[in-house]
Amino acid sequence: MPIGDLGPELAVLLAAIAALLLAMVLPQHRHGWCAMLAVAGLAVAAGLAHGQADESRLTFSGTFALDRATAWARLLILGLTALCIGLAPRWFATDRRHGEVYAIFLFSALGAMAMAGAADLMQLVVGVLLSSVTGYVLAAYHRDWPISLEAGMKYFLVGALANALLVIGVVLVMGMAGSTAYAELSGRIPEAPLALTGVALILTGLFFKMGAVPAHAWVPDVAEGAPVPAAAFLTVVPKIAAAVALYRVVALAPGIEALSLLIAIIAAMTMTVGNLSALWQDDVRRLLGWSSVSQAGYALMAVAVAGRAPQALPALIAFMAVYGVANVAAFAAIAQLRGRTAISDYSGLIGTQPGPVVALTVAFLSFVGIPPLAGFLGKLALFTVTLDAGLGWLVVIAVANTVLSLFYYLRIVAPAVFGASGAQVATLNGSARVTVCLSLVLLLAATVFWAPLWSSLPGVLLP
Amino acid sequence: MLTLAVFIPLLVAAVLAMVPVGETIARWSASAAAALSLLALVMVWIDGGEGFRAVSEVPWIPELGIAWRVGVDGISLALALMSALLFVVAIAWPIELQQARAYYAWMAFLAGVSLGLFVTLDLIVFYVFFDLSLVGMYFLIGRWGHGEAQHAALKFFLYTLAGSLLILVGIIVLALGMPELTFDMRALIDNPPLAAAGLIPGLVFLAFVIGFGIKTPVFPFHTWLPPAHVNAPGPASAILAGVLLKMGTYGLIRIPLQMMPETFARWALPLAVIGVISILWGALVAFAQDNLKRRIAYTSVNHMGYTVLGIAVAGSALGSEAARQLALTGAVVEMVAHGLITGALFLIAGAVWERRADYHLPNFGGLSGPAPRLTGAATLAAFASLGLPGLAGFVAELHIFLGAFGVYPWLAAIGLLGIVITAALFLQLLRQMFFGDLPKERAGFADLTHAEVGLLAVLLALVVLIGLWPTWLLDLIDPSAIIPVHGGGG
Amino acid sequence: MIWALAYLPVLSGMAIWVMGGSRRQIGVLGVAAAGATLALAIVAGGETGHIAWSEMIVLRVALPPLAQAFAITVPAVLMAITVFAATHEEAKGLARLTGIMLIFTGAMELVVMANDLVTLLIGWEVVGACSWALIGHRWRLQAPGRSANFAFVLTRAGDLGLFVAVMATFTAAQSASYDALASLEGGALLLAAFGILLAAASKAGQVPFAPWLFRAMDGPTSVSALLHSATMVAAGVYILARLQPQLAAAPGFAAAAMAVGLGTAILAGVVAMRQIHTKKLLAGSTSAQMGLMIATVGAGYPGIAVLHLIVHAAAKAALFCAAGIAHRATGSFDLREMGLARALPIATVLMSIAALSLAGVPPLAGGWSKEAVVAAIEHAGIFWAACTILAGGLSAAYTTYFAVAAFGSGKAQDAQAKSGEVTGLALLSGATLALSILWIPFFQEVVATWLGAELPQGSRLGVMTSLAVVALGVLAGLQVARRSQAAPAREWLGLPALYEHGVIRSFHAVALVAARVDNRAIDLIPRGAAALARTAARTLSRADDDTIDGLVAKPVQASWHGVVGGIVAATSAIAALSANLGERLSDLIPGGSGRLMAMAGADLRRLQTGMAHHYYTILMAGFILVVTLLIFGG
Repeated sequence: MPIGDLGPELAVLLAAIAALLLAMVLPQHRHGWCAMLAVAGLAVAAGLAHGQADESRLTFSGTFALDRATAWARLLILGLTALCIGLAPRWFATDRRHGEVYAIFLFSALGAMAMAGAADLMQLVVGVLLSSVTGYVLAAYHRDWPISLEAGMKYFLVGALANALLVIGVVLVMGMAGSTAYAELSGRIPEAPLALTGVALILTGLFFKMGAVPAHAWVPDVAEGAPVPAAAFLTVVPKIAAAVALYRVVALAPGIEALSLLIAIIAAMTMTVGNLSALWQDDVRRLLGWSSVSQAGYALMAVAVAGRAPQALPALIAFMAVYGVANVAAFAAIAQLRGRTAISDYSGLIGTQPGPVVALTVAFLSFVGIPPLAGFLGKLALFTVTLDAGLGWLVVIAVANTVLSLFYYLRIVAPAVFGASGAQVATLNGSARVTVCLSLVLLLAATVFWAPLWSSLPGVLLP
Repeated sequence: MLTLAVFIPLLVAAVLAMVPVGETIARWSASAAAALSLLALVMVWIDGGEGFRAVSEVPWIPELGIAWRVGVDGISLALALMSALLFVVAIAWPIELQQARAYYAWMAFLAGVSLGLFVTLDLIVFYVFFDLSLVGMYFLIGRWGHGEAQHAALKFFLYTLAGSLLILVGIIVLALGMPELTFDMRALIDNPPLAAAGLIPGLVFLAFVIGFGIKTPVFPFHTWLPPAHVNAPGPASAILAGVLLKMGTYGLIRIPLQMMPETFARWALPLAVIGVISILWGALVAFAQDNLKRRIAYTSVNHMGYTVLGIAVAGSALGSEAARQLALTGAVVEMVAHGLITGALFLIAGAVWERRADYHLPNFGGLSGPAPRLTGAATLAAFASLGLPGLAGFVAELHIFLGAFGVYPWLAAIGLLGIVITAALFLQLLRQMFFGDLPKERAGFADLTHAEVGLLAVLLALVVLIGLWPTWLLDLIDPSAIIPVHGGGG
Repeated sequence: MIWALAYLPVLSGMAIWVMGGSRRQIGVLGVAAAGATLALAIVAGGETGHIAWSEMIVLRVALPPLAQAFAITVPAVLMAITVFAATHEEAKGLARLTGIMLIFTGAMELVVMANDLVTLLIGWEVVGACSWALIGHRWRLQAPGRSANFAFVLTRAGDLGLFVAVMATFTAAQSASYDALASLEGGALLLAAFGILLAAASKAGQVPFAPWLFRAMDGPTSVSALLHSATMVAAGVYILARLQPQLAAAPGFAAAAMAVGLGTAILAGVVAMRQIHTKKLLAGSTSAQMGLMIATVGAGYPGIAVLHLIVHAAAKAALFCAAGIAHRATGSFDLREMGLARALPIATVLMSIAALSLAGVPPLAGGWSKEAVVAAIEHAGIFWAACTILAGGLSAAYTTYFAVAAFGSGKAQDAQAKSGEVTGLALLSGATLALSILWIPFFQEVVATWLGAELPQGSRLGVMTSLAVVALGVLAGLQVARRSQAAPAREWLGLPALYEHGVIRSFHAVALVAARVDNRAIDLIPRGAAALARTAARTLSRADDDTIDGLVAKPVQASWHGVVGGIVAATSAIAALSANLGERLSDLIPGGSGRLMAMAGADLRRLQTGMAHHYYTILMAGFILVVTLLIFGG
């Protein structure tokens, strides 16, 4: 049982504990150091994860898949978590429990990594629960702000139910198939109604983490209510992990015909509901929440064609990666603007705050998939695999949704760029500004370095 | 060389976006960039050659068969040359505006992407530039337009994006049809992937027709055009009409006609009918417009109708190859001619707006007293647009109709009515604007400045040259590459 | 060399237009340019030339005798008219007028020497454009502009025929040259023949296109003089004569040409008789004379038609100059106001030469050419001949009417004709006189052999009758001139009114309707899509709000709408609840206002947490969907 295989996870765990202890001893105004510690821990973890990038085996007696997909998920989770943490120091500066937030960020990231690498249903449950529990705390971190509490509350209520369903599902599948290890389940899940019900329950649980229909309702609330760094984190990191985990689960049952159709329908519903709901939002954060719902819908297209199109998994990971960076960029811009949310507050902002507005615009155009931004390449990959698998109707729906989404993104960009220049606005600056630039650069670089990234993406999964 | 032509303007655009420079410098550097691109293209032209020339290729995403591929044949080179020239003129066109630097940056950006679209040989890069042109025009209209600018820009962006996404889907299906995934235009042209019959090719063709039809625009997808034009600043709508509309018809030739010829042949007749409807409808509706720009905008629908008719005829497997070659030549000449003529017309309209901030025709009259130069330019452009022989428009329409008559005689005969209506509407426009008695509030209307006259002269001189001696242009276009005399087209 | 015949006048015209100058300078330059063109036309005889646009489209020109004869006529007439115009027209814009008249001539020369249909089409349309500019010369007035547009659009409508001819010829023979035209047969030939006939009729002011000639009267007199004699209208007749050998074979062509020609000749003659406006009278006579020539072509004697065209050119130009002089003398075109015999004796004499020629009275040129026409048409049949003789009588009548009414004895006025005007008139009348040598058989032979035209031998009876009818016509003309008649109630037998109400207005109406449809209906495609999305979105976001705040009265039901909105918008399934959806859609406005209230009372809304059981409802509904699909979908 080679402990080294979980080096990245352990590094994150230790960093979390260290951050917690450091937060106890440091005075409140020094808690910024915990951020550095956390980032350092993440960096170490990333280094270890990179070292294992070429592994391809099951470890810990088959509960954890050590393959390319895991490696990618780990690196994405670690990197994006670091970016989110970059937003935190000044945002939480006034918070009495400033330091602890980093520990929670790290625990949540740990949960996500566990989820992404899970090669055993039990392990999956552990990962989901860990990332959920920490998520509730993050969402409700502003205890004296009712909206934040409300967000956490709802996140918790939905999460509790979804996790319960997940656990039941696992039990049913284990009962019917006699095992929880993917290696043994793969292709051997019986088509008995009870087993299928179990699969359905597991899927529902994962849909919750991905923020997909029917368990999507928490996303806008969290995006609107949670502290902006937490919102950025929660709308990105768990989703990436869940996407990979979902793909692993779906890949287990290639025999079940309806599964592909089911995911396709869920994808269509998710993107449509997300876009339509976002259409008339006047609260930028809530709008971003809905847009992230719709993005999850696009991602599900790749899951729907799992095993039917050779490039499905690369498309999924590539799209989620781009989405994650773009989403963090957007939230970073909002954080830099001290979380202003009303669309009217953005009128003419280009004059006074070009940086964040440009970041927001580029991120939005990337969401839409305007070439040559990475978002376009991601969508291109998605459309290609979906058409390859012959799901033309799904692509058409996705196209319609894309046009739709352009409308509400422009509802923010247009006044910001065309509107009369407003007065000076307060900004967060510090590490937040750095994060804006960093995420923007990453987003733009993705276009240039797409070829190497793409070729390094995994084609196949364990087992 | 072609890569240079694309990247010089983009580079200048980036510089202008970053470096704070004065308005004059911005204006001149931007037009200089466009001029350099034009120069590069002219050099390619001088080098001559058959088929795709000046080809170069840089890998981008080998796994997906995507690469930076550039190269031109006669058609794309002709269009690129026209676009580059139009950009030089439109950018150098004097115009009052705020944030001039950003404006010229966007203009240079637009020049780069437009040229890129015409010279690229990779479908994905084509799509990239196709969408970027939308972005550039969206910001130009929304930020420097007047009236309902933002609404018009949004409608333009949404409508054409919908079209472009359909094109993307079509492109992907085509590429997936290849033995191994590639977006290389030459490969797809050499062995078209899709069969003639069947549902899929039909749907793909439909996607292309709607997608490019929105951009062209053809009836009934043209309703985004008038508001976009009316609210855009003069040079921007000159570019919109002169260059961006051509992307639709160029794509129609390059992709459906060349990459799925058999399917195209099956559906050529409906497409031709759409073209004829656009001819008549565009002219008819234009006649009823009281707004100078709306009227010109609708004549664009009419002229693009001629082009679509020509393309449809060229793609039909009927008639003689000679007839289809004539039609295709005519379609391309029409694109070039319309670019120059309508570009000039919109610049003139812009000049009128600069002076009086009014497009309402009945408010004008008798302008040839105070503004003879404006009158002369407008009259020449108007007659060119209504297809007077000796000017560029006639050459195009003659070729198109000669070709069309050989394939669809009845459609050609019906389409002919368009030239009478356009004559009526342009003469009425001239009379309302320039003749009769001068309203008091229009007294002291300033004539065109020498700069404006010089810029217009460049365009109109070409219009006359093409009208009198089009040989050089016809040789350049050389449709035999697309429609080989020995029974091409399927 | 031969091309210079076209571009020399064009370039010199532009030069004069740009340079401008005093009356004298302009006049001298104009005459010089016209003279140079004339010289070119004389030396360039028999030459050919071609310019290749591409392998397929080649512009060809040639100058066979028939063409050369007319190519000489055009600049000759122009020269005289330039002399006239330089003194007669107002100095303002004289340079433009002279310049455009030269360009006009150049285009006309292109038509004359064209040896393929594309070249012809080019010259043809440019002639039309120049006539537009000339008719609208006085642009400060309202009427000329409208008339110019009317004339151009109407003639261009006829030009479509030429377009069709080009297309048919090219499609059938892969070339548009006149030789290719000759090789046609069957449908193609029919299309070509009747297309060209249509175009010719529209240019030559035949029925039903005649009215544009009246509208053209809004142009300056010199323009009318040129337009009605050697250019524009002449182009129609000339091209029929030039192409008669190629087209005669087309079934029905001859008959159609004669029907159109003689029909117009008689109708226009009647119309002319009823005019009291000098220029309109002459315009009517132009239509009539052109009709006679077209009929002659139909009868198979193009040479005779061209001869009559040339003779007519000189006479008609002279008469217009005379009308111009009369106008300047009396300040009106009203025949009833005139009677200038005593005031302008010289002009009267010169005018009467041209008049007699036009009336077809021997021994003047017109007399001979008209008798030739009669003789020619006799060969086509007695009925046609009768029509021709009648038309001849009419022309005699209205010409006499014009001559006597305008320049007959009347109340003496002290009017002066400028020397230049008289010179121009003299030149033209002189030309008429000179042409009268055609009565001498020797010259007839010379001309006929040169033109390659055969001289028709008319029956003695025909000649007698025709001369008698001419005499009658002269008497009738005298009668009409005596009693001053009122202006005709309806111009051109109501044809213009027909165009105005039947075509123009209805077209305007249709265009307006189309524009409205375009704005409303066609634009529905995008708007409809937008509206659909908006509706669905409103429903959804309403559900969204319902679920986050309890503003709505019955939250549970509202939440169900949320679910419905979600599922329906996505899959449009679950028909059971669609009733609720419809209710929600019809309930949009209150719904929207509800949202607004929600924004207003933001605090209230924030404090109102909970409603999470809606999430549970959604989640469970979705889960059930998932299970059903998994179990029963596979």
